[in-house]
Amino acid sequence: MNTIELLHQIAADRILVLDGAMGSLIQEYKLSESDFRGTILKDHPHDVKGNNELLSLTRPDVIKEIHIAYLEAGSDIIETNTFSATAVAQADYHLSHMAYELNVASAKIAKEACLEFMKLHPERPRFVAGALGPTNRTASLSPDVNRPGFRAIYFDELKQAYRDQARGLIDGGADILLVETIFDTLNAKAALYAIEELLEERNLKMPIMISGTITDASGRTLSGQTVEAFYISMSHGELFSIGLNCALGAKEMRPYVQELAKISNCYVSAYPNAGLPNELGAYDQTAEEMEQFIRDFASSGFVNIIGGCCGTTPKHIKAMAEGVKGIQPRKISNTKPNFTQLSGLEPFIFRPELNFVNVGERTNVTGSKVFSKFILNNQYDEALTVARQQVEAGAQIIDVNMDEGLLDGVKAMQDFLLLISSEPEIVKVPVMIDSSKWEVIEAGLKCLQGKSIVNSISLKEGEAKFLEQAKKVKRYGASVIVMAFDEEGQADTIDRKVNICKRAYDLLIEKYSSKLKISYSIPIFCSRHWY
Amino acid sequence: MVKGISEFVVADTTEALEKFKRPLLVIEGPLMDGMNEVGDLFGAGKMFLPQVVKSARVMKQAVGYLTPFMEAEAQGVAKTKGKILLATVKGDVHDIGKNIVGVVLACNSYEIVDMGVMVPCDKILDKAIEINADIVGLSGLITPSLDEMVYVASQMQKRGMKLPLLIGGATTSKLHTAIKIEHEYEEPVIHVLDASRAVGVVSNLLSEDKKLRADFLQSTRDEYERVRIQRQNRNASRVLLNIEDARKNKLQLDWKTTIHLFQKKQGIFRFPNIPLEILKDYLDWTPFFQSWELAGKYPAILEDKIVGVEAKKLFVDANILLDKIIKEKSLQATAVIGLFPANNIGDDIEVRSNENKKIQLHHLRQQIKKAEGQANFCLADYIAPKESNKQDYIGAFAVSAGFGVDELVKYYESKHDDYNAILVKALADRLAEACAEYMHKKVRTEYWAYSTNESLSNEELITEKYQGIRPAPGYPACPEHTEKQILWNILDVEENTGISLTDSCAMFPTAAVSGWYFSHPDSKYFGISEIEKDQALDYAERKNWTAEEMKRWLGAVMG
Repeated sequence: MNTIELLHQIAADRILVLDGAMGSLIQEYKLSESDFRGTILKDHPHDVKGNNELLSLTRPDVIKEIHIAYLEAGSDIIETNTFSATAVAQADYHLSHMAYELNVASAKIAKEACLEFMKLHPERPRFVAGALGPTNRTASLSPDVNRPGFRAIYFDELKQAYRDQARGLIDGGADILLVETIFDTLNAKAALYAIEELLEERNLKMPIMISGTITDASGRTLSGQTVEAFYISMSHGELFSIGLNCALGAKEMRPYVQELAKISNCYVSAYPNAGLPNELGAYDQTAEEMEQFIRDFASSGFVNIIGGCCGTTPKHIKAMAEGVKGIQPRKISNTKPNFTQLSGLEPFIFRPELNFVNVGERTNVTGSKVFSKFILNNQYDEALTVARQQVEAGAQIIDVNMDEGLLDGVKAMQDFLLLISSEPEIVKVPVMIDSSKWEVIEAGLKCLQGKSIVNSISLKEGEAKFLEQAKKVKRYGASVIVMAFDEEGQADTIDRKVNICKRAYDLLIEKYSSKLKISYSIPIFCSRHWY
Repeated sequence: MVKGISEFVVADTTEALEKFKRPLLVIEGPLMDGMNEVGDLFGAGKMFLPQVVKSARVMKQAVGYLTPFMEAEAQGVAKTKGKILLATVKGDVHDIGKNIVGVVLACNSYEIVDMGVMVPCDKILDKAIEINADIVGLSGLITPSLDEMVYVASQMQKRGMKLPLLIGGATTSKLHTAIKIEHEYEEPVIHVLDASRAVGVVSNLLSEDKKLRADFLQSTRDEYERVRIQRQNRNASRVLLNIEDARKNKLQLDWKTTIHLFQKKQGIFRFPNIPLEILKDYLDWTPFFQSWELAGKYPAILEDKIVGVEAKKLFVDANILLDKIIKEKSLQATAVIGLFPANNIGDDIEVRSNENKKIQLHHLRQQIKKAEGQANFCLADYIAPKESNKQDYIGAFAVSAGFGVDELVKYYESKHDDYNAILVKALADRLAEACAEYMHKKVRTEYWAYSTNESLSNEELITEKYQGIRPAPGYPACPEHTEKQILWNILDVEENTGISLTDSCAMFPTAAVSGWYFSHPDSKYFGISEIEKDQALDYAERKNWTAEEMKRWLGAVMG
């Protein structure tokens, strides 16, 4: 039995237990700069104290001891010491070049701890989850108030960093990959993209866990998505579980876990902090207090996997593990209707009562002279006003099109989408990325955290191209409109329309899962233009 | 602005400027009101971060519009009032608040050098030195930034920097600054609540009026002390552990490498007549003013705006009387100290007395649930345990400066001079405390002599910068009074000094101090505050008490 099957088997039977905080336990060792440096970084010109991931190389004994403490406390799954082991996060310490190595070493230690522990306690299997943290930069928010279109990091750099991290984790022996503490969904989408690409290259299948973070009292991620919008934005992945961790204590997290439990088609995890930090930034919820909340999650049928984040200790995990013993895990419902789901900052679901959907077409250089003029003259502020008016006037999706001979389409698409991403009143709705050029579409997909619509792909360049683009669209987490075009051109008769659509449908279904929801656009021009 | 709509902000700001006349008033008035509203909505979960950022951008546009007006206004005041270095600490990218602080300060003719976000500690400090900054301001929004700020403060201390440090940002707080940052750095560390307070704080700190600056620093320090005490009291009413768990969380001292288990002299020493002029140098005047309900620290209190005149007058009168007492030797100070071999057994301390008798001292242990990494203290933990096979020592003392007080008081009362009568009592109390301070120093440097190289000023003595403590039975670390009876036995206090104990274990004369000496470098004062019944029963058993006695002597600390 492979890991995925084994995990499914266990998860169907009982609630799985993750571990708790790593950082706060490391602190108790009161390690010095020289502990962190070890011999390998003896001459490194920058301070490295506080770079916890480095300890996997310089003080593996400490990390292993912590893993063992959690295994003893009853964790089924322990997380590798790799939260910040990405090239992006390690840049703070000028150690980006060591990212891969750190991940390999960390995964090895965790795996070793599991194997040793299972030798002594063979009664149940223990797993290593390779942890992929959020990095310290956000792809959806500008760190500069003056330049809302600026980003400290972009999709491709994140994807590369996550790829290296995942590679290290897999090579080190991780059983699961866990993308956690997601405060910006676009970062997580880059992680998921990197993971899927890597697994495909290696012809591997691994359980993937996703865990987001609600940071605001308003119940949103840092980048502004609601829980459901976050779920929808991540739902393209082949996920073992989705859940929430960090930022909140169990008590504050409850309504959001409840919501996820209701909508999720995969297992649900929750590993909150030990309460909210007090005025000194410390966590003081006791194991007993926290256990009560976690037991309530379990007995309410919200969760399949529980654990702890900041401020939790083996004591907390032990209390939880005992608390949820014997409580039935949440059941995944198969009876949920299979509607098309999109998201901006907020969810948008094609429910039957919706009747028809308004797509705002004014942010389209081929459809609106005014908008076209703004973009060509570089008047992006005015162009934003057009988008805002569309949403205010009731557009449920906005179509963005930059196909204009005088424009650098890739740049214009990117600039405009990054700008509207800083406008919560606009980007609360999903975006339809509209272009006849694939590179423009792809540039757009790298800018949006929500689940967008690609408008469109077709068979006009042959099956291989069509399938490749379709695969990428799925990997970026978007829906797609297929145009009834083929190698010979536009579908001009009823027969051809039916044939091309059927051919496209069969290709996609054969190649990808039946979960796909497919929209066709039959080329009767202006059919989409409701203004 | 609250809705994040920027289209009309310039028109609105123009209108506000017409109404308020001065650009700064527009910023500090309607614009800051707007941002506060945003802060409130965010706190209440009615806005989320991207919306907050949007509002901040509108604010920036408004400020951008106002800036030329402010510059025009500032002409003629070309000279900058000081150079302020601002940075968001390493690991944090948030800078909205910091930027606003920068703008507001710049508008007030301070020169701002803004290093941006994610700035490592060394870079900040290097820059501060390079540009010869007058103040460093740190900002941060996420929780880990708090630790980074503590670190920056400690590095400023390490480098011996002399400029004030400002702390700001959403997760920072007065309490955190008071508890975690202030003691890392000797120079002023000030928490700035929001941009609107920045100008006030900075102008006080850079004021040429030395007294204004000193007053500001003193009141800030007092305020931090107040919040620290408040916090302590609040903690006190929190969850209690059972005594077994509290004992498991005892302070772990390393007796293997401890080297101060050393005692020059052993036995009991009497000091029948200590010259008062010596004690005068050891006086701590601050509690003296407190006894007259004048709040403030000596010597700053003498210059205080509200109570300064009163305090000065009192101080002059007290010194006249004190000099008279010293000259006429109308009060007598006396002391007895003892140094004995001792070892710890559980929460008790076994002392070998002068007659080579084993005598048990009893101590209470904190039962409040502590934060991770903090021990549940008990005085006994400062003495090497028996099983360490190390011979440790403990000291005891009793001092008084109260002999002659009654006569003097009667003398002044007979002359209907109540003022001086009260002064005598207050001074005698202070002299007794000074005597305890003086004896403690003698013990550290001559008798026990574990700290022979000590050279501390009176201020440093008052702030207890020396090694070791002298907790007194009946006070927070050992709140149970009957232990004084044991102390009286060991030192034969009444015979040696004339100080007696009443039935309720009060000392007579009242101007007296007694307690234990602990020398361990890690020893420090703490409060027992509250204990559970399980410990009370255990303690009663150790003291061989009836239930009645337990209630009488431990009632005050039992929840």
